[in-house]
Amino acid sequence: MSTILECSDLYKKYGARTALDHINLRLESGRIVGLLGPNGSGKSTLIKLINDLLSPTEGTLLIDGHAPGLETKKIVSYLPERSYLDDNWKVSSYISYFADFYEDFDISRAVDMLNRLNIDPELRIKTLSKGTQEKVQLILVMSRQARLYCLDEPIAGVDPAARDYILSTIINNYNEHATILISTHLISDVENILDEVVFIQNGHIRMQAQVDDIRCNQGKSVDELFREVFKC
Amino acid sequence: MLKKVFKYEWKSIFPLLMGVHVVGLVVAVICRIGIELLGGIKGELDLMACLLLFAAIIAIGCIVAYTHFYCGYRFYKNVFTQQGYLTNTLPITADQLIWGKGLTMVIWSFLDFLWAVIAVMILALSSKEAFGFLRELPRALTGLFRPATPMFARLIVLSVILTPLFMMLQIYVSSAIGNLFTGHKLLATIGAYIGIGFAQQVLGLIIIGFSSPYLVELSEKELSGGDMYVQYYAPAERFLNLTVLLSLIFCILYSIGFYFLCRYVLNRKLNLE
Repeated sequence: MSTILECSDLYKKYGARTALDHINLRLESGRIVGLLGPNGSGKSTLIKLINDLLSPTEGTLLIDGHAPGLETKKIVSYLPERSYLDDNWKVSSYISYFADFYEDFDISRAVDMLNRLNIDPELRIKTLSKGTQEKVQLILVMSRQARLYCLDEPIAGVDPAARDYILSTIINNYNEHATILISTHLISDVENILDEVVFIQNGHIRMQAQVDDIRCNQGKSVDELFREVFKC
Repeated sequence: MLKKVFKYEWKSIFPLLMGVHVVGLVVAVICRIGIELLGGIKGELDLMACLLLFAAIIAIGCIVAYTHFYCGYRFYKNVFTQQGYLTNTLPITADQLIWGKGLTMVIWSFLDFLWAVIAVMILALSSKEAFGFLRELPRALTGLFRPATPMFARLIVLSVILTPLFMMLQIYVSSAIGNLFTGHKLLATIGAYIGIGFAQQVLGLIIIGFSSPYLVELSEKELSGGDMYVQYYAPAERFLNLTVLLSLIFCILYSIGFYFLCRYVLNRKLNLE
C-alpha cells in the first residue's frame, strides 16, 4: 500500500477563526475512510484544501507526493456538499464535459448508471429534482477512475432510499486501489462500508483508527465511539 | 485544454447572446419603420421620431453593456461561486482558465461592436448611404496599412483592438479581488470594479497633468517654418498622437498587472469557503 494523502502540520484559518490546527494525517491507498466530526469541525475545510479550493495558511499537504495543483486534479475526484451543476445545461452536456476534461472518465459507466436510474440524459438540470441532481453529480464523480475520491457529506439532506443508492453507488464503483474519503456526521449510515475512521473536532484530529480495531478491541460500533468521543 | 475551456464557454454563452442580439436588430428595424412612418427626422416637428431614435440608441447601448457584464458575470459565477467547485477542480492551469474564458469575451466584444455598427446603420442610414458605406469600408480598412495613413488612425485602431482585452481583464481581476473577501463577494467584486475604474481615472489625470508640458515640448520639437500646418496643425496632431500613445501604454501596463494579479489569486489565494 502506498500513501495517497499526507498532511504535515497543516494549519488553516479564516480571518481570526482557526479551522484546522496543525494537523498531521496520513492515508493509505485502497481504503474507504470516514472523516467524521460534528458540524464546523473542519471536515469540509480539509477536503477543500485537498482539492486546491483553499490554500493552507501553514504546513504542507501532499497527494500522491504532489502539492495540490494540476497533477493532483487529474487523480482526485471531488463531490462537494452543494451542487455545482449549471441549471441550463443538459445532463448529456456534463457527460461530454467530464469526458473532455478528465482522461479517467468512463462514459459507458456514467450512461449505464443514468439508465438504471431512468434519468434521461437530454433533460436539463433545472428540470430535475434536488435529489436527482445530487445523484447525477455523484454519477459524474464516481464514473472517474480516480486515485482519491473526496465525498463531502454525500448523504446529508437526502431520504433513506437515496442514501442506500448513494452508498451502493460508492461501493460498486470503487476501484480497490483507490481511496475514498467520506466526510459525514451521519455515522450509523456509513459505518458498514468504512475501513478506517478519522475523528476531527475543532480543527484537531482526535483519533485515527481501523474500524475492525474499534469493533474488536473496544467492543463498540463506530457510532457508539463517536457519541462517546464527541459527548456534549 | 485551452480549446476545451473556450469551446464550453462559447457553447454556454452563444444561445443567450445570439438571441439578445437578434432581438436587438429586430427592435432597430421596427424603430426605423416607426421613424419612417412618422415622416423621418427632418425638422422641429419630428419629436416622436427623435424620441424613437433615442430609445433605439439607448437599447443598442444597453445590449452592448449587457454583453460585457454578462460575460464578466459568467466568469465570476463559474470560478468564484458554487460552480467554482467544478471549474477549479478541472485539470487546467489558471492561464488556460483566464484565456479560455477571456477569449470568448473578447470575441463577443468585437462581434458586439460590429453588431452596433449594423444596428446604427439600420436606424440612421438610407439604403443608398448604407451601400455607399459598405462599398467604402474595404478601401478604408486596407488604407490603414498604407504608409500615408495618419498615425492617429493607427493608434485608434490599436485602441479598439486592445480595449476589449483590457476591459475583460478589469472585470476578471475585480472578481478575483472580490473572492478575497469572506462575505458579500459579489458586492466586493462590484466595489473592486468601480474602485479600479476610479483609480485609473485619477491616475490618468495625474499622469496627463504632469506629462503635458513635456508632450507639448515634444510636439513642437524640430518644427520650423511659416505655413499654417507647421505652426498649428502639426503640433496639435503630434500632441494628440502622443496622448493616445501614452494612454495605450498605460492600457497595456494595466492589462499585464490585472492578468498577473488574477492569475496569482487563482493559483495562491483561491477562497471558496
